[in-house]
Amino acid sequence: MAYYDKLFKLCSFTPEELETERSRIEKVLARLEIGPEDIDHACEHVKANFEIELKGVQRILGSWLIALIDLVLAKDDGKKIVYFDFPAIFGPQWILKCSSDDVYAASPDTILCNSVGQIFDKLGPIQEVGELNGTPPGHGLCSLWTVKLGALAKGIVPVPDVALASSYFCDMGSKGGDLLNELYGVTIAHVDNTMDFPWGEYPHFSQESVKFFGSEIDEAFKLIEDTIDIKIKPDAMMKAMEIIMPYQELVGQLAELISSDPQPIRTAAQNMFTPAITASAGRSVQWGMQALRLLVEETRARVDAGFGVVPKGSPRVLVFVPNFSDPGISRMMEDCGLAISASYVNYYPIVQPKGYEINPADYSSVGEVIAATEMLNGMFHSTFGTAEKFRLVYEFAPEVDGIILQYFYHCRPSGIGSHTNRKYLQETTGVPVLSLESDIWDSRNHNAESMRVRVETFAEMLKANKRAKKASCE
Amino acid sequence: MTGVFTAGVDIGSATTKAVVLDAEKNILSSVVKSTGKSVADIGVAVIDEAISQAGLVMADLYQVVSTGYGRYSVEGARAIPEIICHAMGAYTLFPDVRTVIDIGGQDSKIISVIEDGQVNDFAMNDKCAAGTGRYLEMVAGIFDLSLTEMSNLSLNSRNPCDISSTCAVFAETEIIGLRARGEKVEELLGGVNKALAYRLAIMGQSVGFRDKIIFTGGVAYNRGVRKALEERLKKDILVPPNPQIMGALGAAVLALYGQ
Repeated sequence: MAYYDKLFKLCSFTPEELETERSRIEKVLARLEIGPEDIDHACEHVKANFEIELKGVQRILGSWLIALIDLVLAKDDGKKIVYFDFPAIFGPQWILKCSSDDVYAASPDTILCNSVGQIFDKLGPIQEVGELNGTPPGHGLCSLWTVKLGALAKGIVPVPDVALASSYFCDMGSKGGDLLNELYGVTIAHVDNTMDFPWGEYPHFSQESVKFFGSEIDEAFKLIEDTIDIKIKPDAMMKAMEIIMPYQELVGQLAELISSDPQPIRTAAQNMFTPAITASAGRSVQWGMQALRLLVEETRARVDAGFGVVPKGSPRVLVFVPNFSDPGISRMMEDCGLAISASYVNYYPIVQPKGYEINPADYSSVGEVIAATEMLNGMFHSTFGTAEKFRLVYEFAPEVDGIILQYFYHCRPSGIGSHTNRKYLQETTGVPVLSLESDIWDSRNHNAESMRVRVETFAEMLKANKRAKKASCE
Repeated sequence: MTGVFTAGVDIGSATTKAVVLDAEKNILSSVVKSTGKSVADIGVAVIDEAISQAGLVMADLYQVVSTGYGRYSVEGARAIPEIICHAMGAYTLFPDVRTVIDIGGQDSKIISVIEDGQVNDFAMNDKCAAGTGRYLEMVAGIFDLSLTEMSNLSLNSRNPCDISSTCAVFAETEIIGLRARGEKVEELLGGVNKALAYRLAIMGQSVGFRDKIIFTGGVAYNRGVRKALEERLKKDILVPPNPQIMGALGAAVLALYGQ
């Protein structure tokens, strides 16, 4: 038995899967410089932060390990590699994957945060090298890019053949693309659009914007086709949707079950499902589907049994976005006595404004369909779009007592809207909103103790509100 | 001794405070000491001293509530975050309080208080130490002044300097540079207070500064900071006689209410 077997077994690998993957696992661990002590630490970290007794939790952790293996070995596997950046435009990786099995399309930073961060708790050495290679600390630069640049510089992840870079959500996408080109000669497929839409406009958006944005995406596809010599198949979008839709349906079922009172499972693992389908189009998604089916059943059993991880009647919060590199943050919120009944990330693909459904037949290209879908998602439309979409999620989520709205010092789009969005949500929902600085990609950028003071205080506020409401009813 | 007695202990980054109360919320004793190296030891030490001063023994206490960053280190105590305790402490002395400005050793908070002493909104500094007690201690160190001397001297400021940087570390460089250019010490200290007040005003704008405003924490002893805050906010600010113990007082009051 190898020193790493215990971690992979903990993360749902069967003996057969372990043997099949063994040589690949060993290559990956060597590139990550992960030794026996790191494995011991990872096992303790996983046991302390996840409900590892649940098979669905084990499998989603396994799915991220598979995603990590396939990312690190993509070049060894002879794949044509395409990276895309945040915002991860929902769809291109699947369209590429459904057009050619030779393509490996992924968001490497998201995979590293969810695997090396959430499971191994060992992002630090990668982040430090990233800071030496393009994103120096203290400059307010994107933590995701720090991870990506660090992993490239350390030779952990392969240099891609082409990278998709967008500029409409944040300037880091395009500037980071410049850096990739400068450092590694990577061909960059730029996708431009603007977030400068009037306050109050969302969910409406002009069809001219969709046409411009769609043409940018189509151009990027063309450049990718030419660079890696593939042809996007006409039915690729449809095939992609056949994979994505059932997955999203299960994510929705799980979210609905978790919103039960008492909260039946901890949310650390739940938060890993939506990123799993946006981060890559590899076989990890099949594992993710298996994990979802298992966890939906296990959660349903807990709901039926009335089992809760926080006391029944605990204040219920809607969080903007969970932490994708440190499972301890959502656990800390739950330990403060808050039921995390919903998160924007798990609901935003499901909740759409009424009367604004996207009909692919209305658009003339794949790019336009993706563009319209992205803009309807709110977050990538405008600051107001983010706030209003959040409000729609609030309306959809059952009985929310408070909102935790995280923003990140290292993420300008989230930082700039932190106060306006808080004000908007407070005024439109009437529930207290905690504006909480954190960094979902890099835990070195927030003070856990100071964060706990805020969350505990917020929990006490919400508990007092509930007591007062109950007293007034009696 | 008979009756219901409680204790509150506030373990902060710089000082640890304890208050013992009777059932009518009369303060029987209070103790303030430097936190030092061991938060667990200092928590027990200040409670013991406060109990002793009140003529009680530990067994006389109905409950102990701990607060501050070391709140989980006191065995047997119920831990409550300091924002809740500061609001309750201020409300106990001033039932018409609506805003608490608390500046401690390592953080600063603006707390909105409602009619029953509950918190209904708050803001707290994030990673930046500018606007905290540590910032003022650092400035005092530059001029080799005690905190009291610094407070008194800053009141003589008529044209406070612009301290553009509110980063505690870079402000030191800036102050040293301005001093080398011949700026008067009192104007530099006035500038520090002005910068601190600006930072607090910005931080609290989403919470608001409703009257009555109570200023608590060790920095509330600094009359220059209070003056700068009053000028910035254009509002009167009240400093209670012993502003440092407000968190411990609130903790002791919450201990009276049990779980």
